[in-house]
Formats: sequence, C-alpha cells, structure tokens
Amino acid sequence: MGYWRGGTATPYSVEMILRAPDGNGQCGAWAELLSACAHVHGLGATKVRIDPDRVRNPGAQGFLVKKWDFGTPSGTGHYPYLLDHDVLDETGIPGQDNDNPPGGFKDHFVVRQNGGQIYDPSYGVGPYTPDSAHENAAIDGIYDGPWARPQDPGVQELTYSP
Amino acid sequence: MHRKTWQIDLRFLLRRFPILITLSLPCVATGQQKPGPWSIARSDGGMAAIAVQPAGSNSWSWQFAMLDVTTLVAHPSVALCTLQSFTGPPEAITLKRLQRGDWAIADSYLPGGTHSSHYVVVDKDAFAAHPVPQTAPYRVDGLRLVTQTQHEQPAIRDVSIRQIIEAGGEPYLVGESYGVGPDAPTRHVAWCAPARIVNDTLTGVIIGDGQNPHAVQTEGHTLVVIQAPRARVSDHPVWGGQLRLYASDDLEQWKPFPGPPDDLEFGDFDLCVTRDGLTIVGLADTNPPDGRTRDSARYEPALALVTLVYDAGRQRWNTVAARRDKSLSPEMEVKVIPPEAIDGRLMLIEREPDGRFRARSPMQ
Repeated sequence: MGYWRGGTATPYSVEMILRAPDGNGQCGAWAELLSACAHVHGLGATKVRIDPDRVRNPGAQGFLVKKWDFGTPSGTGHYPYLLDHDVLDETGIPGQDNDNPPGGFKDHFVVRQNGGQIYDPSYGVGPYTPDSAHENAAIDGIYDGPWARPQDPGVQELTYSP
Repeated sequence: MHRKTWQIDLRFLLRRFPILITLSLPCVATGQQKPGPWSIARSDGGMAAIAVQPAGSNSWSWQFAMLDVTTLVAHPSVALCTLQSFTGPPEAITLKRLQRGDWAIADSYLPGGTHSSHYVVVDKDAFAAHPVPQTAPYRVDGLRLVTQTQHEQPAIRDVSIRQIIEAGGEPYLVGESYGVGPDAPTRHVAWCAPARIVNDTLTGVIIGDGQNPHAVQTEGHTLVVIQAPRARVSDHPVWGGQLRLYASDDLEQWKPFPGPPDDLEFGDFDLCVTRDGLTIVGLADTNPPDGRTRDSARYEPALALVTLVYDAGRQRWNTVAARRDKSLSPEMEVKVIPPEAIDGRLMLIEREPDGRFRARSPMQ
C-alpha cells in the first residue's frame, strides 16, 4: 500500500484503497483505514478534515506540506512568495511507501482518537496534542494560486473539523 | 523543461471511416508527467477541443481550440488559464457551447483528500481579442442540498463536475460527490445544480446513487446516466457497474428511467441523441459472472464496445452493435460526438498514445 505514490492516487475511501490492486491512496482513505482499525479494537476514532483557515488567510487554496525553502519574496501582500521561484519544494516528510509525497494540498484528513490526540496515518506520525502541534509538524506555508506565505508557528492557520 | 511550439494540425487521412484526426495539441514536455484530460464538444458547424497540459512543475493550463471539420481548418489553440495543483492534472474536463455562443468549461481535481472543481464561462467575444485574455475560473468546493436551510454548512465537501447542460438559457452542472454529511452513510451520489457559485458552493439536488454521470437533453427532457454502486462481493478489485438512468423535466425532480439490461456492466461510457434516438456507447462486460466467480483474482471481464439504442415504444434498450477486438482495454475512455459534428454519423473519439485523436464509428 502507499500514499500518493507516483503523483496520482485515486482511492479516497477505505473501500477504494482496499480494492485498488496497488493499494495506492489518498489521506482520506488512510484516515478511514486507521479509524476502521481502531473501531475493530473498540477504540474511539474520528476522521478529521483539515483546511486552511480562510478567515486568517483570505483566498487560501491550500497549504504547503514540509519541506519548503522560503527565500526572498518577489511580491507583496498576504502571499508575497512566488511558488517555484521564491519558495522551493524540497524532499520533505516521507509518507506511506512514498519518500516524498506532493508538496501541497487543498485539504487533508487525519484521525482524532477519543476526541483528543491527532494521528496522521498518511505519514505514520502522531499522536499530537493540541491540533497546532500537528500543524507545526506538518506544514510550512499557505498558498493562493502561484503565491504563498510561510506558516506562523505561533498562530494556528489550519482548521480541524470535527 | 522544454517548451514546444503550440500548434494544431487537423487532417483527415481518409474520408471514409476510420477517420484519423491529427491534433498536435499544445504540449510542454516535463518528463514523465501524466497527460491531462481532454474533451470535445460540438459548436456551430464544427467542434471545439479543450485539453489540459502541463504548464510547469505544479501547474496546468487549459488549452482551447476550434476544429472546423467542414473546411478541415484547425485554428491555433488558446491558453485560457493556468491553475495550481501539486497532485497532478485534473481527472476530467468538460466544455459546452451555450446558446448565446459563450463557452462554459469545468474541470475536476483531486487536490487533496476531496474533489474540487473549477468553472468558468468564456465570452464568445473574448476569442476575437489578441491575445485572448486569461480567464479566472470559479473554485467549487461544496454542494449544498436544496432541502437544507441556507444557514447550514454544505453537507457535501467533495465536488466533481462532470458535465455542463443548459435549460431555459441557464447553464447547469452535473457531477458526482462522495460522502453526505459526517453522520450519514458514506456513498457516491450524482447531482445537478444551477451554475451559480456562492462562497465556492453550489446548491443543487441529488439525482441518484452512483458515479460517472453523463447527461443528454432531448425534447425538453434531461436524461442522466449513472454508473451504479458496485456490490461488495469480495476484497478483489472489480470492474464495471450497471447503468442507472434518471429523467427530469425541470432538473429538480428526477425519476428512474428504463436502463440497459442488468447483464451488461459498464466501464466508461458516453451517450448522445442520434437519428435513431437515445444512444449509449460503452465499454461493457457482456458476461458478468456471479459473485463467487468474480471472487477469483484471475477474473477478467469479457469486454465489448457496445452501442445501445432506446426503443421508446417498448421502453427498452436494444444492443445494435457489440465490437470485440484486442484494442479494447478496461481503462479505455469512451467519448462520442453527436452525428451533426462529423458527416452525419455518431463518432467515437479515441486518443492515441502519441496524443493524436482518432474518430471512427463505434460499430466498426
């Protein structure tokens, strides 16, 4: 099995990833798989959706997953860094059978156990408490189209629901 | 990255079928990047093509080109917009020429854990400008069901637009979504919504359960064909699904419509209206096994490219052709264009590995 292996992975549910011949799936599939495993053992687990906080980051289309190297911004405003020019994607956190998953996502799914700790099965990491600990460990920035800004470790910039 | 010259070369190598259309669509070579999706739609006196091509390491461009099949003149392609995606090209793109002459275009991405789409209407006059101005498509992330109050959050946060239709001079979107609310059973649904986007969200109605919806309009009715959910018979991969049809007069109330025989299970398919009536062309398993047989990992579908025509009098679908040959594969895309587009005949459009498109009768 794998996570975004080869750049494109279409399964996004536990049923789809188990049916896929190569078991190559997305975060939603991995989150449902871990939740299902937890339920088998009688443990409480909930699939949690992560989005950019669009109140704090107007127009945000997604977030940059570690690791990105921010250089000198060439633009202005809330997102002054031009992707692939001012800020470059580097080899980041390895995922399931994938040493370098995609560097940015519109959203992401993780698992919350017993209403508290966050586990991220796509990357095999956790637990994290509070949610901002996961955010700080996972992302480097927020982007809107080809423009980006670095994540502020002192401020929670992602929403976790529920 | 090596940027090639953008050009389109349309040639009919044979006036008789099969016809080979050579479309050297815009291309930016970026190594092993997966090619983007494409679609063809009828326009006044010809066709238009939209294709998604790499524009950079994490960006993709919509390339639009008019194809005049009457004069065999292919116009240069136009880059309409460039969109960011770290997860590869969109899964699908579709276009439709609206009654007033504008072009409506929509795509569907998997940019994270859920589907997201873009939608835009390009004014017909935009193509007269030099250069053609870049468009800024609307992002569509959510679908609110009309049964909910406006104060509720969207019940569906997974939006994959698959087709654009038009009724009463207004464009509508037909698509599919996964998951209906956090407490509801997870399922795939097909839906229809006016192309009015408020806060990245559509408001529409569910047509039925299933995936890969295709729509066709005839005599005031809209017919949507959906690939039905597959019964879970094992943990082995299964291929194909039965087709379920739904009809509506107002795009709000959808009623079941007679479908093809259940002993046909389809992979990809398409439909249109021909002089013979409603027509479905699809890659089908013509001998689907029972669950026990399908449980075998060695199971392979008995593939045929079938053409079905609806007999309105008997309210049943008749298989008028079933082509079996070695060129068929379970992953084959099926796209047809209506008979008005080329020589008065329903044509199947196929894309060759080298990027060229082949148009031929699905029956041959």
